[in-house]
Order: sequence, then C-alpha cells, then structure tokens
Amino acid sequence: MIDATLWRDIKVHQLVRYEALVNLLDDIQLLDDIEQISKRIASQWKYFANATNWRLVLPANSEFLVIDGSRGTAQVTRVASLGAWDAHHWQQKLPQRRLLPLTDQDGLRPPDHLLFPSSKEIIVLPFARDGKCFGMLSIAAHQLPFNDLDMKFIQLMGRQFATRVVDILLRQQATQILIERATRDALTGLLNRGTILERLSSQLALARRTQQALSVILLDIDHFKMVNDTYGHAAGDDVLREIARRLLSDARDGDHVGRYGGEEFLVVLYPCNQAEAVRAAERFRQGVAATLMTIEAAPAPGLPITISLGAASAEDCPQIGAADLIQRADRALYTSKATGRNCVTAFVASN
Amino acid sequence: MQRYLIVEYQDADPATREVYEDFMRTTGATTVPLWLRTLGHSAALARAYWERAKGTLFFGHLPLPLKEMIVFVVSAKNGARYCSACHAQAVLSLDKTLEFSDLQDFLKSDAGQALPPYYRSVVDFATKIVADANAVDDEDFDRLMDDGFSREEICEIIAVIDMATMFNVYTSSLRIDLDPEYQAIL
Repeated sequence: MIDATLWRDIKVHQLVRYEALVNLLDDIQLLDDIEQISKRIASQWKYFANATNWRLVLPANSEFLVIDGSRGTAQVTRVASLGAWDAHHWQQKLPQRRLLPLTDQDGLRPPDHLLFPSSKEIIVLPFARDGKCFGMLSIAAHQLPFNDLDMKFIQLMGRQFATRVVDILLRQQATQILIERATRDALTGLLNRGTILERLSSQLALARRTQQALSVILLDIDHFKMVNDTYGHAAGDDVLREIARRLLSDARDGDHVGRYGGEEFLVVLYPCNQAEAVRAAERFRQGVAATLMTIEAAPAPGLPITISLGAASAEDCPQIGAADLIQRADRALYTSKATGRNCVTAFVASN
Repeated sequence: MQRYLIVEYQDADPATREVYEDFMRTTGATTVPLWLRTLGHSAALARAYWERAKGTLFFGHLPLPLKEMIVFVVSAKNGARYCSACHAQAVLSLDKTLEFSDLQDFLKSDAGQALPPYYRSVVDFATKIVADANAVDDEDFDRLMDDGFSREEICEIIAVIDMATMFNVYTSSLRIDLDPEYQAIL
C-alpha cells in the first residue's frame, strides 16, 4: 500500500516546484507585457507554491494597478483608490497572516476571490525598496496552510513579479516622456513643427485613400512683435501659451494643432472641406479676439490680442502635396494680413 | 501469436532511423522503445505517433509528472497494461505495486497528501473523460479552474488524455509485451 509521505517531501514534486519557479522567473524577464506576465504567473503559481488566488497591488502614477489572479488566469485593472482591505494593509505596510475563516473581530473583508471555500489562510506581504513600499501581495493558501517553502517561494516570486511590473511601468513612463519631448513644442505643449508636418503628410495620404477632403488653417498672431517689444519676451511667451490653450479648447477631436514657427500655428483638419475649415477658422479667431488676454506683465484688464488666418483645402485637388497646401494657406493668411488682420481668408485660385 | 513486427535500428530505412534518432535525442534514452520499433515498418506512421507524443508531452505548461499521472490514470482505466506499467509509479515515487483503485482511494482520503492538491481534480477529470467524453460538463471545468488551471492548461490536459487513449488502443490491440528495460519515456 501507499506510504503517504507528505507530497512536499517527495523529491519529484520538489523538482516540479523548483522548475516551475525558475522557468517563471525566466519568463517574466522575457515577457514585456504586464497582462501576459500576470496570466503566465496565474497559471503557474500552483506548481511552486500552494496557492491559486492572489492580488498584487502596485502604485502607478497617481493611481493603483490591481492584478487579480484566480482560476488560472489574471486580470489587470487600474483604480483611483483602493478598497478597504488593500488600503488598510497598504497603509500598515506590515506582513500579515490570517487564518480562515476570519472572525468578526477581523473586520476587514478580503477580496472575494481570496475567500474561496478552499482557502485556508491569507498572507499579506508588502515589498519595500529603500524604505518605500512598491508593491503588496495578498495570497490565499489552497486547501492546505502554507509551509515554509511555500512562504519562501511566495516571497521570492512576489517580489520579482512586483519589481518586474514596476520596471515596466517606469519604462513606459520614461518612453512616454521622451515621445512627448520629441513631438511637443516645449513652450506651448502643442505638436512641434516636425510632428505637425508629419501628421499633415499622413493625413493627406489617408484623405487620398478615403477620398475625403482635408483642410489646413495657418494662423499668425497680429502685432506680436509689439507685445514682445512693449512687455518683454516673457509676456510674449505668455501670449503664445494662452493662444495655444484657446486653440486647443476650440479644436475638435481629431484636429491636429501645432506650432509652425515663431508666432505661427498650423491646424490640420480631416475630414473637413473648405467651407467647414472656414467655419473652424472663424471659431478660432473669435476664441482669441473675444476675450482680453490677461498676462502678468500687462496692465488690467489685459491685452486685445487677435490673430489672422488663412484656410486652404485639398478638396478640389486631392493630389496636392503638403508643402503646396501650406503655401496656399500662407497666401490666404497674407491676404488676411493685408486686408486689416483679425480675419479669415480662404484660398481661391485667384488669391 | 506475436501480433506485430519489430524493425530494429540497424534494419530501419533512413527515414525511420531519423524518427528513432529524434526519439533518443528528445528523451535522452539510449534505446528505442518497443512501441516505436513496432511502427518501424512505416516511417510515416512512426513519425506520426512519435510527433503526437512529443508535441503533447514535451511542450506546454503542465509539469511532466502531472502528464505522467494522466497517462497512468487513463491507461489503467483503459486496462492498457503496457502504458500503465510504463508511467507514473517510478516518476511519482509511489509504491510500485500501486493499482488504479488504490490511487483513487488514496486521492480521495483526507489523509492523503502524497500528491499536490491539484492532482485530485485532474485525475477525476481524466477518469470522467475516459468513461464518456460527452458526460463532461461545465462544473468539471469549473473545478479545474478553481484549482488554478487556465483554459490553455485544461486543453493540454485533454490532449494528454487523448494521446494516452491513442497509445492504449495501439498497444492493447497488438498486445505489445512489456519492455524489460524500458521505463516511462519521460
């Protein structure tokens, strides 16, 4: 008959546990996607420690990333604030071990999936680096309480898991910042010249494929030199920022707004025909002219800043290139400047 | 009557030899098992059977001893002497005289902790499929998932059950003798 030694003392199962752990440590370094890593861990956890249901909580910017493992798979969610169980333990930052079922005095209710009928106990493990908590694991023992090796492996895997996810989040943030820096104008936060021209080219190609009209608006701040000369360059920067803000608030979803040059801005509108572009330009004009611009260096009630605009559309000439389209908008803008400023001109062939 | 022909390595044609060699390279065995030598007359069949075993047993996420256990359970249920003898006991470090009924009692007893908890649901699942694959219901899947098995792993479990059955039919029909030197292929 069977010599029922504890399975955890049987060599072959020890090897299964080590093998599962080592393979998983390797996998999470090779995988790059938080969801994929979480799912892989969720299906493998039972092989190296006596657990199938767990929750990992990590701070992600001003939010939290909550990864729930259960039934062989994992779900990743972002939440603005933590539930009572997580919030309490996150604040305490202390390892906890609670036998199940919980008594009334325990008060806090763990997440549902940790309270499976098969759960024997729950441990909570905070992971800290340089005194700062970067992750917290709550994990339930499946059918049998945890033994020492379970605890060791859970600590090891939990820490590696949390570290890997934090690293990925940090890298995503850093990449995002680099992309922002490379594509945004530092002063106004709008797309920079290179990016808005790229967008124009790609949107033009799309417009040709879909046979829908694309239009551009080129606009320029009136008498900007006078603002700089009278109130200084810092005041000029304030005006540029405020113009950018107003353009963005009057732009519609899908419009691309960029800083084209010193005080010149380019808006790419798609899909949009010439008549719609003129209406959009008029909206931008009013958005700037309607309210005086309060800037620190200028006396109250503020400066009457206006813009001149030129609109051009690829509506009648779908094969037109980006440079030619901008040139047309520029000629229309020139007409606006020549006919008194603070107005919109649409390009027509006779311009 | 011996119901099968045996093609030894030295007599095999180059294509069959390639299969034999792939077997030895993959498993680390220095000899070719009897079941594979009985397929040696057809390189295509030998390759088909071997690839089925290789793809099912040597890839995927289930630990090998768990796959061994599935093969043992299915083979024992199917009364396949050759297959059940080759699998499980040695790898699981259990008593060599273990019978299938003992195993069932053992898995069901509360004192039995000789195997990780997830074995019980896998063994029950395999037993049920062997009896009648159509009888498997969502609750059976739920039980495996409660034990932490992903859908991919459950698919793997079924593939192992299916492969074991295929080998059971083959070895039982031909009444392949036990291989004295041959252990489990894993």
